Amino acid sequence: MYRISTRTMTDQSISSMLEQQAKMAKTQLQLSTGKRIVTPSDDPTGAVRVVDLKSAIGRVEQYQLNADRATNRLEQEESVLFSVTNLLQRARVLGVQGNNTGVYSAEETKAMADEIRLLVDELEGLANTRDSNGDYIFSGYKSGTKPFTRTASDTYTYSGDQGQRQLQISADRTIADGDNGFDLFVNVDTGSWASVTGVAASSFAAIADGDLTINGISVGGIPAAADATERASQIVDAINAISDSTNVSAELATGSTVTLSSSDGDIDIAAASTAATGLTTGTTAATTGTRNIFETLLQLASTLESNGQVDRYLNDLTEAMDNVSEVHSLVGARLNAIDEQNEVNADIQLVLEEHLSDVEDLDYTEAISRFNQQTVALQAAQQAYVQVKSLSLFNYL
Amino acid sequence: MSEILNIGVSALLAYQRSLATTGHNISNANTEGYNRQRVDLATRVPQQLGDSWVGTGVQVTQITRQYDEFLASSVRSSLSATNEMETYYSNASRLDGLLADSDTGLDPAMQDFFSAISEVADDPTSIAARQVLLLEAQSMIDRFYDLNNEINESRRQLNNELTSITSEISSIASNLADLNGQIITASGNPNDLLDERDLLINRLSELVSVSTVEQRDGAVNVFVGNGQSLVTGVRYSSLSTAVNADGNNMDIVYTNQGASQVVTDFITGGEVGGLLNFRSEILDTSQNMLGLVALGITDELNTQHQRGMDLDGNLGGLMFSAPQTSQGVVIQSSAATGTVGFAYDDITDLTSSDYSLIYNGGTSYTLTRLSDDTTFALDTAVPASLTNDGFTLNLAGAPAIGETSYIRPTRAAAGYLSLNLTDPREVAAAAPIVTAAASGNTGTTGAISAGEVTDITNASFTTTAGALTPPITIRFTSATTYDIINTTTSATLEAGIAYTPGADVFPTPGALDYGYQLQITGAPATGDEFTVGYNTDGIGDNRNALAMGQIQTANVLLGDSTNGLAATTTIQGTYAQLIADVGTKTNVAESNYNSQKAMLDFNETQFSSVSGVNLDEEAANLVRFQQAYQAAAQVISVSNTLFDSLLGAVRR
Repeated sequence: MYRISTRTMTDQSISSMLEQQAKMAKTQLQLSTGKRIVTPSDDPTGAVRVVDLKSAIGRVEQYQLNADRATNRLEQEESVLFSVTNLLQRARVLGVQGNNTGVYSAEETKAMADEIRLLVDELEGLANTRDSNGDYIFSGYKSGTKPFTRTASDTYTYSGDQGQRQLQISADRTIADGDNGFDLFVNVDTGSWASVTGVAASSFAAIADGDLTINGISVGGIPAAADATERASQIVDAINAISDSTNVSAELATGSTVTLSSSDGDIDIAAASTAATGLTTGTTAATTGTRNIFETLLQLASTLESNGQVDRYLNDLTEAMDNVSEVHSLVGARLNAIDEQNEVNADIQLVLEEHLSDVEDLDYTEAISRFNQQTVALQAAQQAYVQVKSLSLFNYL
Repeated sequence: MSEILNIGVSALLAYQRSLATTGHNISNANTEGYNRQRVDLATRVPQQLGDSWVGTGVQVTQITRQYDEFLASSVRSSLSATNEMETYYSNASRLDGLLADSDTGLDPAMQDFFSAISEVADDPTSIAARQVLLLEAQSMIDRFYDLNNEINESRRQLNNELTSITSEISSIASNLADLNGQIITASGNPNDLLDERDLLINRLSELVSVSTVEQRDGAVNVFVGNGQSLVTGVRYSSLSTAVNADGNNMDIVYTNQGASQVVTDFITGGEVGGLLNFRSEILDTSQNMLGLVALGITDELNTQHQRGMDLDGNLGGLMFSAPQTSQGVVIQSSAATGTVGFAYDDITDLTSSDYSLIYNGGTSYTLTRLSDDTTFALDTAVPASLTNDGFTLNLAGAPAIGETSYIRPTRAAAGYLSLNLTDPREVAAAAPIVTAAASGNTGTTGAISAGEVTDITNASFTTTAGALTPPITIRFTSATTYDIINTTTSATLEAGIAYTPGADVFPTPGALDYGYQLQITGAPATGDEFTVGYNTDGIGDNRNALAMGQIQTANVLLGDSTNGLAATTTIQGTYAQLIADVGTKTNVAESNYNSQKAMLDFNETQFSSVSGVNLDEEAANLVRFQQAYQAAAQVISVSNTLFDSLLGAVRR
């Protein structure tokens, strides 16, 4: 027979009540916090996953913030680029209008040139745009340095650098939040250009048809001239007469010398006599280079005024517009990329949060039913204690 | 006739004793440590009458306590185990709750810190964003302090507890020796004295694991640890605490007849065992791990921050103060004659373990990693240095043979973490170099990368503040070769370098190296130039802030380069390991405690089934002995009647 001491009976009842109460307290804590894992020891693996997931969610949220900021900046740049494009288009219209020699008076072309100069001022303002922080958006890393300044000689200096800031929009993806003025305004290719200047002619006899060909096309016969000045203007007229076929135009460099230029390919001269034409046989190759947009516009304006060869600068302007629209489309592409990344990030965030909820959050149905069971068990323990306590042989003695 | 009277009287006396003992049992039913007593009755020596033996009544042979030595010792060992686990568990769960808590835990603070870096990268010219970064860094440091202080506070409380427990153990030992004396001199069964002694031994078992040996004279000898005698007969020894060499932890000191000995490593079980285990398994490990996280942040961010350039164009300084190595890193006894210098070598290789360094005599030292007992030997004459696991020990002096030093590379680090930057302008968000392509370049696809700094101590950066010495120009002399030219003086530094698109430019075949790296891609044409200069005024640059942000997701800790293993964990991942470690240990401790508690309940029930008082049983005994007493009284009454009858017969 197994004896049970009276004290053991009491102790056991009490300890089972205490145990039930501790369990209830735990469940109550879970219910009030809504968390399955109250301390890491409840589920060490789960607790670490909660930490990892929270930190991953924090990172994704930060990527979204970064992306928003990049979007704002790119949208600002985009609006500036719209204005720049419109401005360059207007300048081009003016240049093309002014190029119609003889249609407009000197005053009218001067007015056009003046408008182009005003456009240059406006462009300077656009290129020196600041963002909401007061940072210049087109000066590369030197965001505190005004990128474009006009020097006295009507040239422009770029004081920024070629830096391009990147923002982190996902764990392993960064995206540029702007473009520097060097790429956009300074390092702009110019159109194809060939130019050659002759010397003053020293023989003024008539030139036979075929004795002077430009790009393989004869300029025709030229009558005798009195002096070098007359010969020069004869040559200019003859070359310009066929310029539609040769793409080479001529103008007087000085009274007696001629400059041939082409904005569409090489200049190939075949002259029977340099003494008679002032031109040397040979090919001048077309070249391209770079010039900043401001100076191109200023050149266009002054060439218009002086009634010079505008075609070249119109070509350069086209190149500049192409450059701007290229940057513009890059900005658009970046904005698209950010949108796509935003969607991906949002998906990732959703998945992570669901995952976090799975790991961390309490299953209320289960917890409440567990709480009820524990309540019942505690009540049972209390009742059992009362019953056992009242049983004693001494009651019957 | 008188025999009947004597028999009756003997029975009266015996049952009086039985009733008294039953009363004693009833009154002590709830007395701690009381073992129920029983009166052993036996027949008295019979009388021989001729061939017959006539009974002479009953006598009390002894009053014994109901006690099972085996069950008692089971209870004692369960008490030790349960108290050990309970102490361990209750201490562990306190730390456990702190680590992952969103208010006190470190992880949210680290996340906020890295987010603040990202904000600076988004907006490098914003003083507000930089200020927020400094505030977040400080608040992260505060979390480190808070956790570290909690651990220190735990350690302080633990030290106090050890002191009070050892003094209680000593006073119990003295009481036990007294009781032994009383028991030796008492004859028979001094039941209540024995109970008192057992109660004391049980209390002792709650404090520390003990073994007992009962002597022939009734004394009990008590031993602790690996055989240190606490009580021998009427003599006793004492336990006390003393601050150990590092000044933070208490050691347990055993003192016997004036001779003292540190026995910390031998003491097991009970509250002391729980505290000691908690200290070595959780407290020390957690503090080491926390220190490792702090060192990781300090080192990684400092390295990257120094590669940057601040808002005023200066090279980035230290973001956090450099880790100190003078406090709590090398622990030597005050009598040590050798010197051990410590320096961090590569934080990536650090472990969270402590180390011991023993001088073996001659030129031989042994360094032991205490977490897994891996040893590293050094066998060269001092002064010498020994680099292992990410730190270097510089050994000098003339140590005594066997002299032991303890190395704790990470223990103190979290407490010394501090922010070095004070001015938001000093945050080095930019990189100090800037590259550019010349505007006249004709090779349209040729491009130069933005470049990245690899060594800020290169003369290129250190010679003149705010400038590169020399600034360089890379000039293509053909489509396949380039020269490197000093931009300022136009002097050629190295000519005719073969061009490989996308390849690292430095170090050049002629071993030029300027502490940064860059690449040229595409097809540059002859005469094309690319320049590298100091990033003067580059306040909008965020390259270095981006690089600092990348540290968050980079594996930078717990590598083992000696064995060719790269870093395995991120900074936050290391902290997560700490959470997992403490969480798991707490979890295991809880279930150990529960199972030990169940075991203890079972053993106590077993024990009390023999020794405990059952009131119903005592009530029945009361009735039984009362009836026996009344019957004995009846015997006396009968004897009286017989005597009267005899007198009556004579009177006639």
